[in-house]
Amino acid sequence: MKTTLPLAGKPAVRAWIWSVAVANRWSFLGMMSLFAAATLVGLIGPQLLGHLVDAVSTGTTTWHIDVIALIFIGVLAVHAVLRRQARFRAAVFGERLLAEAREGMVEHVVQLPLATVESAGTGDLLSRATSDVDKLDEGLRQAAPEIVIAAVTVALTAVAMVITSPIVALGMLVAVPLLVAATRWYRPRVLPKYEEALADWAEVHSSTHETADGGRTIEALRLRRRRLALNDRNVDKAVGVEWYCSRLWAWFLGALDVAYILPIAAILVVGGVAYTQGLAGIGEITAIVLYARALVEPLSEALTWMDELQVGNAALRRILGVQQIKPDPGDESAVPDGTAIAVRGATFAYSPGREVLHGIDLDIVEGERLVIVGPSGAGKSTLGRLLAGVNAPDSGSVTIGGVEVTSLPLAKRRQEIVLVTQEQHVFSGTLRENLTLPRDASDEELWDALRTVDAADWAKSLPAGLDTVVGSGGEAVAPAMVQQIALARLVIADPHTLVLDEATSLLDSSASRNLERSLTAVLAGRTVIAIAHRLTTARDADRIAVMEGGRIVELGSHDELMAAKGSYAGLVASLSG
Amino acid sequence: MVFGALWMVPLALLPLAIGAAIDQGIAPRDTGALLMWSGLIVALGAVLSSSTVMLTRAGDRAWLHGAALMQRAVMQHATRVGAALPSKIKAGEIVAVGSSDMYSIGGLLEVIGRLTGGVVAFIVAAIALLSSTPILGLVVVVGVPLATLGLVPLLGPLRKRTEAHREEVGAATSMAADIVSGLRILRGIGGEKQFTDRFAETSQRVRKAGVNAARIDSWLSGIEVLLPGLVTILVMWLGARLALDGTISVGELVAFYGVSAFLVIPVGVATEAVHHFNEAIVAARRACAILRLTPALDSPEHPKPLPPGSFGLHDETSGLTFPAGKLTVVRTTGSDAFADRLGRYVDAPVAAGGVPLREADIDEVRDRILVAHNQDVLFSGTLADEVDMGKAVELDTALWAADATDVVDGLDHGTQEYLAERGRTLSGGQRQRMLLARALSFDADVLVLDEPTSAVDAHTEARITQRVAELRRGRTTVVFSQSPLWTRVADEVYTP
Repeated sequence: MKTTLPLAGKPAVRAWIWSVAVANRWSFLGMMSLFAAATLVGLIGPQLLGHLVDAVSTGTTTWHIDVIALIFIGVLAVHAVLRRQARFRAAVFGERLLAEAREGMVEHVVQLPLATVESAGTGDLLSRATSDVDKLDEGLRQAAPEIVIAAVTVALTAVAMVITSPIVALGMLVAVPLLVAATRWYRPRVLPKYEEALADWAEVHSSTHETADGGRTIEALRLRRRRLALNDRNVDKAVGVEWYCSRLWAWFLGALDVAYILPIAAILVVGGVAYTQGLAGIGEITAIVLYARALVEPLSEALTWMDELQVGNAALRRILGVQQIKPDPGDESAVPDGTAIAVRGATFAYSPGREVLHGIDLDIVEGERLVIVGPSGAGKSTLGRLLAGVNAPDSGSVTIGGVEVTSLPLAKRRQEIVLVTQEQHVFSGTLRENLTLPRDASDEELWDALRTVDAADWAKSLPAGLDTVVGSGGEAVAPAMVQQIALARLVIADPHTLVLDEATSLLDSSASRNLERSLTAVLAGRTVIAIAHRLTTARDADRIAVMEGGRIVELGSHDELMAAKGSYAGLVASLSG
Repeated sequence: MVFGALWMVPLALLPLAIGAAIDQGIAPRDTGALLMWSGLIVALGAVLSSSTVMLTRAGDRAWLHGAALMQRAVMQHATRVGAALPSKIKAGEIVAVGSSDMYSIGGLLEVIGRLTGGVVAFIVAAIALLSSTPILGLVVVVGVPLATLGLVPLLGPLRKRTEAHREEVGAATSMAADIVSGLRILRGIGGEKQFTDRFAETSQRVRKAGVNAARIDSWLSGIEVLLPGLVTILVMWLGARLALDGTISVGELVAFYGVSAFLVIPVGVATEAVHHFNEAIVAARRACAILRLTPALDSPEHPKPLPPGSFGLHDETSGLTFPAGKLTVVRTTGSDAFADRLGRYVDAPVAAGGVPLREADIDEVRDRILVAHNQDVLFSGTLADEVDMGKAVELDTALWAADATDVVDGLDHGTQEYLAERGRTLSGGQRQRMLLARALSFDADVLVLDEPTSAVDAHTEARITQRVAELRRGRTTVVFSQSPLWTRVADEVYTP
C-alpha cells in the first residue's frame, strides 16, 4: 500500500517547541510584552467609561466629562499603536520561525534514505513543506500571543469582578461546569480528525502534483477522466473530514454561547437579591455585568485559538516527522588512502527478505574503466549506488582507499566519487543553478563544461544564456539535452571516480555515441564504472563485469570473456547474429 | 448570510435587555420584572447559541464548497490544457493554487456571513439609538461607515505586498516540489548542500516578503481598535452630556454603552473582511492565470472524421509513409520531434489515410493515435489500475508483450502492488517495460513508440520486439529505434 513519511511523537513536538522558545526567548518575550502592554492599555478604556457612568449618576460637570473623553482618546491611540506593533513583531517572529521550520525540513529531507522519500511521493513532502508550514504559522504567530492576551484579560477581569463585589461575581460560576463539559466533549473528538484532514489534503496535493506533472501522458492516454475522478474522490474525502470537524466545532461554539449568556442572567438575579439586602450598589452590579460581557470576547478568542493551536500541533507533528529519521553525519576524521575501491561480500535488500545483491566481491584500481552489464533487474544499478555510497551494504563492505564509503561525510564523499543516474530531471531554476549543484563555479568553468559535453551551442541559443529559467514552467529542455546537462554537472563536480548508471540509455544510440565521444575527454584520468546494457560501451572497457540475479557471474576483458564463451559471449552473439 | 443576521439580533438586543433589567428590575426592587428580564436574557442566549451553530455551519459550508469548487475548476482546466501544461506553468504552482490559494478564497466566503451580521448589527444599533436619542443615532449612522472607510487607503499597498509574498511562496513551493524528482541526482552528484542553501535563500525571500506585507497588515489590527473606539467615545461623551442634562436616564446610558461597544463588531468584521478580500484577490489572480492557459492546438470548426480501422500515416516533412496495418521502424536521431508530428502534438502536415490531421478533431486523433515515449509518467496507484487502460488488450497480454511478467512476479502483491509516483521504486528497465505495457494496453489504431527498449538488455529486447510485432499484427505501428532487433521484425524500415 501507499506509504507516507512518519509523524513525530508528542515528546519530539514538545522538545522542538521548548528549543525554539529558548532560542528565541528575547524576541518572544519582547513580542509578548508588547501584547501584554496593549492588553493592559486596552483595559483602561472600559474603566474610564465606567468612571464616566458613575460620574454621571452621582452628578458631575460637563468639563469633567470632556476631560475623561480626551484621556480616553489618548489611551485609544496608544492602544492602537501598541497593538499594531505587537502584531508586527509577531509577524516578524512567526516568519522567522517558519523559515527555520521550512529550511530545517528541506535540509533533512535531502539527506533521508532515497526509498523513504520516493515512496512517500512529492505530494506528501510538498504539503509538509508548504500547507502544513502555513498551518503551523497560524498556530505560532497568532494563537500563542492571542491565548496569552486572552488569559491575561480573563484573569484581570476576574480579579476586577471579585474586587468590585465578590457576592455578585459568584453568579459567574454558573458558566464553569458548562465550559468544562463542552471542552471535554469536544477536544478528544476533534484532535484525531485534524490529523486525518491534514493527511487527506496531502493526498489531494499528491494527486494534483502528479496530474500537473504528467500533462502530456494524461492527454496521450486519455486519462483526464480518471485523474479528475481520483481528484474528486480525494477532495471529497478531505472535505468530508473538514465538514465533520466543522460540525463538532459548531456545537462546541453553541455550548459556549450558552455558557457566556447564562452568567449574565445569574449575575442580575444574584445582584437583585444583593441589592435588596444592601450588599451591592447599582453601579457595582452594572460594572459586574459589563465585566461578564467583557469576558466573552477573550474567552472565545482563547478557545478559538486553542483550536488553531491544535491544528498547528497536528501540522507540527507532520513537519517534525521528517526529522525523525536521522541522517548519518559521517566520520570527519576518515581520510581515504588512495582511490582504490574494494567491495567485499556486499549484500543489499531494499525491503527485508528481498535481497537484490548476494555477496559481491570486486576490486577497482585507479584509472580503470569497468563496465557492468547484465539483464535488467540483475542488480547493476544497486551495485552502482553501493559503490557511490548512496546506500550502505546490509553486510560486507564497500571502501575507497580503505575507508567505508558511507562513513565519509557527504561533501567529502562526492569529491571522491559521483553517481550519474538514468533518472532525468531539470531543476526548476536557471541553467546556471542547474549546473552549479555540486559547487559554485565561474562562468568560464560553466562554459568549458558545456563545451566538453557539446552543449555550448544549445546554451548560447537560449534566450538568456546561463540565466535562462529551465525546468517545470520554464524553457523546455529536450531529453538528450537533459543528459548533457547532467554530464556537464559532472565536469563541474570533478571527482576522481565516476559511476555512470546507464547515463546515456534513454537516448537513441547515435546520440549516445556522440555523447560518449565527447565524454572520453571528461573521463580521461578518472576511474570510470559504467553500467550499461548496450554492449558497444563494453568493448573498449578495461574489464567487463557481467551481473545476473544479484551476482557477478563473469569478470574480465572483452577478449577474455569472448574466449570464455559464457553469458557475455552469448549476449554479443545475440546482437550481431 | 441570513444566519449572520440572526446571530447579530440577540447580541444587539442583549445590552438593551440588561439595561431594562437594571432599570426596571433591580433599581425599583421589582423581583418579578427582574426575573422576567433575566429569563429573557437566557432566551436570547438560546437563540444566540442556535444561530451560532447555524452561522458556523453556513460559513464553513461556504468556505469548504468554495475552496473545493475552485480546486476542481483548476484541475478540470489543467487537465484540459494537457500536454502543453508542463511547459507553461510550474507543477508546484498548480499545487499551491490547489492548497494555500484555495484557503484564501474559502476564507473570504466564510467571512461574508459574518460581514452581513456586522451590517445588521450596525443597523440594529443605529435604530436603537435613533429611536431613543436621534443625535446619538446620527453619530453612529455617520461615524461607523466613515470609520470603515478609514481602511481604504491601506488596500493598494497591502495587495501589492501580498502579491509579492505569494510570488515567493510559489517559488519556494516549486523548489520543494523538485526534491522528490531530483533527489537521486542530488545524491549522485552531492548537490544536497547547494540545493539546501538555495532553498534557504528562497525561503528567506518568502520571509522578507511576509514581513513586508505584515508591516501594513498589522496596521489593520491597530485600526480595528482605533476607529470603533473613536465612535464609542463620541457616543458616550454625547450620552454623558445628555444624561447630565437629564435628557436620558443612567440606565439608558449603560444601554448606550452596551450598544456602542457593540459597534466594534461591524468595524472589526470589516477589517477582517478586508484582510481576507485582499488575500482572496491575490489567490484568485493566480488561479485565473491557470484558467487562462490554453491547449497548444485546437480542433477545427468542422472536423473531418479519420478513416475507419487501423489507418496509415504520411508525413510530408520527411516524405515518409507508414502503411496501414504494418510495423514500420525508423532508424533516426531526433525521433521525439518526428513522433510529435505523427501524434499532432505540433502543427505539421501529416495525413491519415488521406485526411490531414489538422482537419480532424483533436480528441479523435488522441483516441486513435498513441505516441508513447520514455518521458511519459507512470502515476502512483496499483499496477493493475495504472497499466491496464481498459481496452481490448488484456493486462496480462500487454505485460507479456512488454516482457514485464517477471517484473510483476517479483512484486509482493503482483498486479495489485502499489507503484510509487513515476514508478520510482522500479529500476529503469522495469519502468520502461511498464510504460510499454501500458501503451500496448491502450490498443491504439496507430501506435507510435519512441525508443521503447532503450533501457533493457538485448535478451529482453529480443523478446519484446517479437511479441510486440505479434500483438500488433494488422495494426499500424511505428517504432523509432536504432536497434537491429527491431529492424528484424519490421515490415518496413526507413533510415533517413
